[in-house]
Amino acid sequence: MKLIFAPVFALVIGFAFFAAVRWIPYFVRTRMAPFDAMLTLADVKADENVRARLEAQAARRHVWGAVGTGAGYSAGLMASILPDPTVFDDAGALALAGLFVGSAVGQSLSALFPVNPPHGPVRVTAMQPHGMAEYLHRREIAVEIGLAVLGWASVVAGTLALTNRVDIPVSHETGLALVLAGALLGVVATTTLVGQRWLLTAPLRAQDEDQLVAADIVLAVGLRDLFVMTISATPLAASTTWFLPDRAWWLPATFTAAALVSVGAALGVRKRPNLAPVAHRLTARSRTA
Amino acid sequence: MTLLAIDHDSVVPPFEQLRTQVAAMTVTGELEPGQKLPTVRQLASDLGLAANTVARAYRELEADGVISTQGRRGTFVRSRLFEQQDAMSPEGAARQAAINFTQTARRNGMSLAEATRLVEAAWPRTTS
Repeated sequence: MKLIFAPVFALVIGFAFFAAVRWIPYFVRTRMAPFDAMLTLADVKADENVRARLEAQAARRHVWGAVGTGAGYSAGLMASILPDPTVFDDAGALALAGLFVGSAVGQSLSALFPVNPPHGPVRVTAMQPHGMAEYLHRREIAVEIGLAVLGWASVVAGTLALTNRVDIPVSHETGLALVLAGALLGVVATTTLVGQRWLLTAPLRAQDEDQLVAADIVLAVGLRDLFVMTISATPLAASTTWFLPDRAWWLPATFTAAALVSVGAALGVRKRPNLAPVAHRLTARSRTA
Repeated sequence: MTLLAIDHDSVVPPFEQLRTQVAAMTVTGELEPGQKLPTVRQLASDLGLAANTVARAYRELEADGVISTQGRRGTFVRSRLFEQQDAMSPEGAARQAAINFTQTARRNGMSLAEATRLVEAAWPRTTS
């Protein structure tokens, strides 16, 4: 009975989340906000043509984000209620993690599908490399890699402790907490790194300058979506370790410290042109021309 | 010039469009000395070209002394500082003159054999 009821329940709740994000007026009204924030942070002056392209892309990102939110929540809920409930008794945290990951992955993947792809025989470029180092601050890359390493190292340590293959002086509860919090952090941070690499290796195709500026802003917003996803996941992973009974004190301390470092890195983002280097360079030149 | 544009319908081959525009961008300062250029693969995918086409344009630009490939570090616009130091030596001055001559010959649609014949013809008329 549970095998039938649980997926249906998860899908219904997931659809409710999709519908909420898709049609609640507040979310529709503020869908352009990340693009406006990026234009301000990267010091890019967008003309009407660029804004029109960004608004069309914002509408697509909003729909993809809503689909990702619903699908992520459903998957997280299903993963937490289908197996043995004594293992995944924190259904809320896993479903919430699914919601965050689904939303961010959906939004960022929309960057791979521009609303108005270039047509015609002409293609333009600003002759600028677009790799990890060009768009992300060194500290942000370090935080992402550090969180992935912490997550997977925790999973390995927890697994070794639970299986008693190596004599690690931690309790069963601490081992379980290491696996759960580590897996959450490891999966999210690795998804971020892979997704960002995917976005950056995709072609930046355009047929005119406006399209190139808009494409660069869309890429930059997609990269931030994934970065914010990792930052959101760290306090969530830390919180799962706080309330577990009989776990070692250093476990919540380590994950809370990681959360503070990553949130600090996110708050440390200041106005800087290299958030969207191509767009900044092109619009700066047209301003001085 | 702000952007590099490739017209796939043009009668000029894409590698030649790429080569001449990059060379022009370095002259106008649009591409600054020492500036890193995109990888062959990235530029090819951005412009919808084959990687071989971009690689050929980069090879010719390197042969003309416009850009330099530094192994795994990437491809860069050649530094003016390097050019100035290089130009102080007799070999460097001759190399720079050869680059200028080659660029002029290419712009006028001459082949390597035709350009070489011009040098051979001019050689006996000059004194050391």
